[in-house]
Formats: sequence, structure tokens, C-alpha cells
Amino acid sequence: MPSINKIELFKNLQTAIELEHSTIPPYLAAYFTINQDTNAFSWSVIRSVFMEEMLHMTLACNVLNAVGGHPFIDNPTFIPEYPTEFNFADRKFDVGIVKFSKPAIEAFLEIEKPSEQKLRVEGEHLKNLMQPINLEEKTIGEFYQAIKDQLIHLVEEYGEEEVFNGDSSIQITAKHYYGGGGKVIEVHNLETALFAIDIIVDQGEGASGTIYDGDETFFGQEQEVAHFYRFNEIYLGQKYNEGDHPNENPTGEKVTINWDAVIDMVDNPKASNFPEGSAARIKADEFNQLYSHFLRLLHLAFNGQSHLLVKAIGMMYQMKYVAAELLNCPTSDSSKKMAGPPFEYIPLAERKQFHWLVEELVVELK
Amino acid sequence: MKTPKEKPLKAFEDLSVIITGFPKADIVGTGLLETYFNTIEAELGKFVFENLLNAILKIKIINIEQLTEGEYSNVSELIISSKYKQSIEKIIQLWYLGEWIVAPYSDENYIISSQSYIEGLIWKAIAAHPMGGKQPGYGTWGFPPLTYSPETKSN
Amino acid sequence: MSKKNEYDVVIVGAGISGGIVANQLAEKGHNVLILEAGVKKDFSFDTYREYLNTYYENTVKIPNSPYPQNSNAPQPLVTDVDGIKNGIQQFNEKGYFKQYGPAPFQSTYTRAKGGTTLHWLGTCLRMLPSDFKEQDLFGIGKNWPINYYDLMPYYRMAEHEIGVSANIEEQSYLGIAFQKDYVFPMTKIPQSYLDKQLSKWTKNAVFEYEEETFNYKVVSTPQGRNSNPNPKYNNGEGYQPIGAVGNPDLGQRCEGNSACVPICPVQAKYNALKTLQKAVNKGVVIKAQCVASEIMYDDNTGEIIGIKYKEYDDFDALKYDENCFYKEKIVVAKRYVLAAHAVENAKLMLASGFKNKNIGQNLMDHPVLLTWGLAPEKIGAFRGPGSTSGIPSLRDGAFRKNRSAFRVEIGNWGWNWPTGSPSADLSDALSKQLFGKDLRKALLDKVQKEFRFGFLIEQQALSNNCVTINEQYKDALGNYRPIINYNITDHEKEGMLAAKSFSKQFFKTIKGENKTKYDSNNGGYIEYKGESLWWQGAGHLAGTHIMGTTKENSVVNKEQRCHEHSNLFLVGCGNMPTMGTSNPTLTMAALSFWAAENINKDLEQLKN
Repeated sequence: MPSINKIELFKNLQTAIELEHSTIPPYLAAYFTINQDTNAFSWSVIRSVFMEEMLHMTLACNVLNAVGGHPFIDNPTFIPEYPTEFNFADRKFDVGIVKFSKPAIEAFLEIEKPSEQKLRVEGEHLKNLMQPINLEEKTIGEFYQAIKDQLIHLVEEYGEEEVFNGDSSIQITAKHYYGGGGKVIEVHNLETALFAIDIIVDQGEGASGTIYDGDETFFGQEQEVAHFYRFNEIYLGQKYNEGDHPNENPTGEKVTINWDAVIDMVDNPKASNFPEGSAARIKADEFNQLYSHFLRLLHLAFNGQSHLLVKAIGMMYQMKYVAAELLNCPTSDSSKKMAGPPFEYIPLAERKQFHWLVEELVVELK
Repeated sequence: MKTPKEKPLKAFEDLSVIITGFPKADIVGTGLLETYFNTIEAELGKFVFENLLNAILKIKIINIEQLTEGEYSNVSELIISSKYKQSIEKIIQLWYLGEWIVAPYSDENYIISSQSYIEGLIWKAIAAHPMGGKQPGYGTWGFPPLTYSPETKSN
Repeated sequence: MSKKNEYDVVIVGAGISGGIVANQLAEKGHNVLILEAGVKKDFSFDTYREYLNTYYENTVKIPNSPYPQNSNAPQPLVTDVDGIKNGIQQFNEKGYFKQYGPAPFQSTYTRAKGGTTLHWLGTCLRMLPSDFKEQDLFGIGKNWPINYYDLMPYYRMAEHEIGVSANIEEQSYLGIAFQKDYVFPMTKIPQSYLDKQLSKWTKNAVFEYEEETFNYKVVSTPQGRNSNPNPKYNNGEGYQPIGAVGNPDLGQRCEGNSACVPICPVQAKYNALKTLQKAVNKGVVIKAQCVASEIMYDDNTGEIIGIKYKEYDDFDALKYDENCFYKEKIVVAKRYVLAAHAVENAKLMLASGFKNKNIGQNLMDHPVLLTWGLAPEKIGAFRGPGSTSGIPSLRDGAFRKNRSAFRVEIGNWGWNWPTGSPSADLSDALSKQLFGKDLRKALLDKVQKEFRFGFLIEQQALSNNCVTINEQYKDALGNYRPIINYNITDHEKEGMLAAKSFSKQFFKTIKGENKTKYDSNNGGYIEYKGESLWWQGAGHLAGTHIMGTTKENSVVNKEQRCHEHSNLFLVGCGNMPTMGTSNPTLTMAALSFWAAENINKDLEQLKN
């Protein structure tokens, strides 16, 4: 029997990790530009969504680790350059780092749209750009199904032990994930791997045929609508009612969306676009530094040093505060637009010794 | 086109950098520059505040975030001089605590807003975070303290 | 005056003890009403954020600073306490309490839904077995009619309800025992860097005092604050941390807000709203803006026949107005529970003409001796919960015959409590003409080394320390204001001397700098045997209706039922004959579970 070849599987799982991560900066940009007090509903919704994307990322890493692969996070190709093109079989669209707005929510709806759902809204098109998220002619649902099929097929051919031969001690455990819907699943066999993938799909698109995300079945939690429908609630300013059908508009309680109570952030901020020496430039550089250090921490955490997650999460908090500062900095002396978090990758060699630096990272920089 | 407010606001920004010891990016990042300008103008009076700003403008400083020995002593003289000393102290306290302090323990002291409390620079100065805000995350209090230390005037 | 529907149980006070009793009884299917003196507030997180904003904008951040001052249900404030003039402790006319001294009573409580757990620190220590029989063991204080082992199962219930984080292997000392295989719901809250350094620097260190040598250790403090759930908890069932009420995804872990006292912005810290929410979901009714004013009882049998209360308007809820309008109402039930905290419970009973002479007496607090200084290296003050570790080693010993025991609380927030740092440090630096980067550096270099100790000194129960009432002192609604007579004894002062010595030796051992300097004008300053001492209140109020064997020596029996009024139960710290050296909330919560059991038995019997 030929020896097991997991290359295709590893590649797809790595793409899954990148896919789940790629939605986070755009969601964060929308989240940072609104206020918990003036846009409470949208703020909670977006928060709950990106918390779940982080869960999905973690689940995908657990699956990859379980089958003996290695998540590759600290590298320049890990983050797309925004605006970026999402390239699925059924649709192609651009997503950028833009303030909370109707176009932003439209883009989010596109990201989360379940495979068969027809979207009845018009969207502004953003520029096409490089490093698209390319699922090679599949829908998201089909993409994850393909991963599931691969796993099932490999297990049939080689047996569970061969397939799931990763180091179980490096699995991210439930205790590290909190404050959002769902639980981290430790993956060590086919059942847990399939379960983990089901969570990713159902929380995003909805358990098939419904507006709900399956959390009730998975986690015994209160029924929550899936991401797509949560964004629709924002877009239409109305909540879904129990029993509403996926293809119809929500019929529940109306919610106020303050489309004007938003920080006027420049679209797709880039550090180099801000004048050298300006507050915007300094803070943008600081943000990118933090973000890159964060990716390194995540990389190390997902590759065996899970205790570093505490530091990685601490880094996320710092990124949030620097982003808030950035949003107070005009892009230039004459501009009314505010700078924003660029989420740009800084290569290891250019990272600075920083007040938030961690011992492990200092050692590496030396 | 520069609005009437911009020049004094810029002078205030420079003053704030010099007296707080924080770089422009941190000052602007609080989002409170204009709010504080208005507070100080209301509390000290337009005349006094304008004079103070003009006095600062008179001192030639090449890089406000890195004063030379000479520049430092000129500023020092201005600040410690009895005319502006109290006002400067109050402005420093405003930036550091988000509070306008009339006198220690006075009933007339007030915190400008929740935001000003949270953006108080004292917490950055001691490499911590405002009590009740900008929380650093679970477990972070177990790590060694942040070592970031600003250079002193002599650098 | 109108009568209201008859309930199975009426509880006065929507705090932790009232909440626990209500929740437990509702679970058993009983019909429960809670009367709460504080303002009507819903359980939404938006409402809670109002408290947070009030806190941010308050220039004086005392424990009650986020919570509205309400003249219909006034509450004591630490700023009510006066200082010393010409060596004499002053007692002013402001504030809710009328104090006669000689020592100032400096602790406070909160009259709102959620009660004092809104502003508590969250420390959850069990009492020691010795603490229950101090009279027998040390000839000082009182004996409980129950012991530690009786309370064990209830401690577990309390630890579950509050959600206590601790590692069991560190917590068995000085006789504290646990059920086999027991673990706390969550693993310990990470210790601060300060704790870890202090621990390192005092390895093998000893404390020498009065010819005795004591070993001591820095130990993580069990606390009601969300940490990582322990998968072994409850026979492997695990534990789900309870987040903020009205926003359950928030507060699932402590995030290091460093504001526990007076308010946790994310509700990672337990507060009684979490228990009250559960109770309300089970059908418990909470009527706020209802201040109990009198407990009516039959002169012959002692049976309680109703509770009279004053219900004040929405309209003018926070302002005393000549025309402040309230309606007087009566509620009737099969069983009555007072859960309004030690002082209010006593006050209410006195107002109702209860005859038991122990009511109001034996008022206890933990006088806290504060000392402070600088660590030899930067430890990063002002991070994390107010305290994550302490030194429990001196909570017990034969020396208790001669002096009070104490528990050492290690403070993570620099000199905030004793001096008002870091603002005080800023004033200091400004007075030295510092500005700009020099100012920043001076603050960084100093404040990052700051830490403080709080020595919780055990106080014994004495009849002279008491709550009384007088016609002269009433509040806006015409209810009595508590009158406090309070003092500390030589036994406690001896404990403070030992604590001060411990502090001195400790700073020497770690090669730090002891910066403790007391201001003789501050309330709580005293001199004893040539030493200056300064103590503050811990926020612990107990003993005002103690538990005991007879109506001569106590107010309630071990069922927590009033000796003289068989359908009335009292819960809260007022029941405790001693507090030992632990923050009393956990013990009080345990007792509340027990009381609920007893009340339930009563009600079941009534049905049959």
C-alpha cells in the first residue's frame, strides 16, 4: 500500500486557517469604528462574529495539528493585502478594511452567504487586488465538505491512527477560548475532526436550511442566528423571529442602527500612506508591529507552545487600544479622514524590541 | 485653509508634548486635544491661556519630542516661573488624570468625561492601564512589568 | 395601609444572602418576595454601564462611588469618617451613621440590588476550625454553636454559587479540610508578578516575634472571580463560568481591569445580581424602592404577623423633598427573612421593638492595618485584581490568647489605598518641579515598585460595640439611622503591633524600602506602647445578631431562626459570633444555604 500522502489535506487546512483569519481584520475595522453606546446592537453582533471566526481559526489549527500538519502563521502570505478578492465558485467579491457602513455590511454578507442563498442587495465594487482568497472554484460549503471527504477517505484507506498521528499535547484546549459562542474542540480522531468542521460551517452559514447556527445542538446554548443572518439583521435594522425562513426577511423586533455615529476612517489604511513623523504614521507603524508580533505569538502557540496564547490574547487587547488611538489621528494635516489599523505584515527582521515584547520573542530577535 | 483655531491648537499640542513628556502621537491619539483646549480656555480665561501659548511659541525648539539642553532650560524657566507655574501644573494634571484640579481635595475639581479619565496619561507613564478601563487581558498581570522607559532630557 | 398577597417567604434585602435564600427556596417551588430598599434598576448590561460611567466621572473613587446616593435608602460612605484634631477623634454630623466612637467605624455597605457584592473585592476564604471555638481555645471572643465540619458542605455550595477560583492543593493549611477529591470550580486566578517575586524573595524567611518563630508563605487567594474552569470539578462535569448579567459572553474571565473595588466593568467578579437573575427566572419577585420599616409581631407568641414597608416613588427616588411621597404597606408571609446586612438587620429589629438585648451588640469589623513600601525591583503595580495572594500563616496559633491573629493581604494596586497613588505620586513629582520626560521617568521608576500590605486584624465581639437607634436620628423617609458605638481593644492593638513588626521584618528580608508613614490627623490613627498605628475598615460588618444557644446569649439559634420569633430567620454576617481573619462573605453565603434548607423544612412541614 502506498504511504499516506497528506499534502493536499494540509494545503486545504492551511487555506481554511487563512480563510477564517482573513475575515477578521475587516470585521475588526467595522467594530473599531463604532461605539458600544451609540451602536450597541451592531457592536455586539460584530463582536460575536469575529469571536467565532477566531474559534474557527483555532478549530482549523487543531484539525491540522491532529493530522500531523503544522499551521504556518507567521509569514507574509498569511494575511491578504486589503482590499482583497474572495474567489469562490459561486461568486467573487472584494473585501476591504473599511469603516462600519452599508457597503461594509454588504461585503460581510457576501463573505458569509450560505451556498444556495440569493443575495438581493446591490453592492459597491471595491478595487480588485492581489493575494485573493482562492478556493479553486468551490463554494465555502463545498470547500469544507471536500476537507471532510478527504479525511473520511484517508481514514478508510489508512486507518484512523495513521491519519490522526499528530501530537495530541499541542492541541489548543477549551480553557483558552472564552467570551464567545462555542467551545474549542480538541481533535484526535475522525469524529472530533468532522465535528470541528461542522461547527465552522454551521456557525457561518447556518445549519442547513435554517437561520440558526447549530450552537444549540453543539453546545446546548441558546439559539443564535448564523453570521449571515446576524449581518442581515444589521443591514435591515430588524431581528429575526423564531421560525423565520432563511429566504425571507426578518420579522422580529426592529433595532436602531446609527449609520452616522461612525468614525470616518479612510478606506484600506496603509502605514506608508501617512506622512512620515505624523501621529497617524507613528501609530500605524506601532499597530503593524503589534500585529506582526501577535502573528508570531499565534504561530508559536499553535505549533506547540499553547501557553503563549495568554500572551497572544494580551497582545490583541493592546492592538485594540492602539487602533482606537489611530482612529483619533487624521490621515494628514489637511484631511478630515481618520487613520485606521492597516493590518500589514512586518517581516521578522524589521520587528522592533517593544514594550510589549515577550521573552521568547526577544530571544528570537537576537 | 487654516481656521482661526488651528494655530493655537497646534501651539497647545506642542506645549502638551513638552510638558507631559509624551510624544505627539500619544497626545493626538487620546482624541482630547480640542476638548482640553476648550476646557483650559474656559478655566484659565482666553487671555491667560493665549499668553501662555505665545510664551511657549517664543521658545525656539527644533524637536519638541527631544529637547536639547538649552531648549530644556528655557522651557524650565518658563514653567517654573511663578506666573505660569500653577497653570502649567493644572494642564499637566489635566492630561495625566483627565481631571481639572482647582485645588487638592476641592469639591470643585471635576473629571471632564469618562473618556478623559480613561485617556489619562498617568497610566501610560507608569506602564499600567487606567483602573477600570483598557484592561490588558487575563493573566497578563503575572508577566514582568513593561520595561519601556522614555529617554530623559539629557539624551 | 393595604395588605398585599400572602407569600410563602418574604425576604428583606436583595444582596447575596437574600439572593441565595430566594433562589434556593424558589427552586423548591416556594413563592418568594424580596423587598429591596434601593432604586429600581433592571438587570440589563446597559444599566450596569451607568454605574461604570458614574465611577469614571467620580473624582473620589470610594467603594460606593459608582452607586447612587439615595436619601430614601441612605448608605454609609468612607468619606463620612472624620479625622483627628488635637489628638481627639472627631465625629461629624454628616453621613448616614451617627457615631459616638471612641473609635471611628469606617466600613460601608451598599443598598441596591446586588448589595455590597457590587463593590466587594471577591476574596473567598473559609474560616479556620479554631475560629469557631475561640472562647474555648483562647479565652477570648465567642464560641459558635456549630463547627467548621458542620459548615463544610455549605462552603462547597457557596463556592459553587459564587464561582470560586483556587487550587485546592495550596489551600489546606491551619486545619482547613476539604472533602476527599474536592476541587474548586475554577483553577486559581493567576498570581501577580508582585506575588511571585515576593514569594521568591521570602523563600525560607521567618517572622520572629515575642520569642516565637513563625514560618510563612505567600499563598494564592481563593476568590469569586472567573478563571479557567477546572475540568475535574463536580466529578468531571466541569464548570461554566457565569459572565455578566444581561451579557453572558462578557466577563467569562478576569481581564485585569484593576477596579474590582468598587466595580468590575465586565462582571468577571461575582456579584449577587447573578444569583438574583436566576431567582427571578424561577419566579421570585423583587420589589425595589421598598424600605422595610417595622416587623410586626404578636406580643404573646412572638410570631411575626407582617412586615411594614415604605414604598417610595419613581418620580423623586433620589432626592429628598419635603413632599417626598411614599406609601406604607404591609406584606404577610409564612416565613420571614432579614437579609439587609448586619447593621440594617439590627436597626430594623430595634425599630420594631424586639426585646432581645443582644440585638445590635457585638458589632465587629476587621480593622485593617496598612503598611506600604517599595520593592527592590520593579514589579509593575496597578495590574490585575486588587489582591491575588496573601500570607495566611499567622491566622492561627496559641498567641491568640494574647493578641489578635491577622491575615496578610498583598495589594497589587501600589499605594492606592493608603496614599491615593498614583495621583498622590503625581502631586509629589509636580511639587518637585518635574515636568515632561523627567516627570514620566520619575513616576515610572517609583510607582512600578509600589506595593502595600493590608493586615486584617481579628476583632472580638463585645457588647459595647453596638448599633442602637434614637428618635433624634432619622432619615428622609422617617426610618431610623444607625447609631454606632465602637472601639478596638488592647488585644487588637497587640495584634497590630505584631503586624507592624511583621511588615518591618518583611521589608528588610526582601531588601525593599518601608515607606509606611502615618498621619496623626487621619481617622483611625492611634498610638499604642509608643508605636504609631493606623487602621481602616475592611468593609466587613458582622455580629449584630449573633448565633448561639440561648436567647440570653444570642439572637438566633443554629438554624438561624430567631429564638423569640419562630417564623423569622436572620441571614448575613450579623449571625457570626466571630469572623476570624477571613473576609466573611463566603462563610455568610454558606450559612445562607443552610438557612434556606431550614426554611424549606419549615415550609414542607407546614404543607403536611
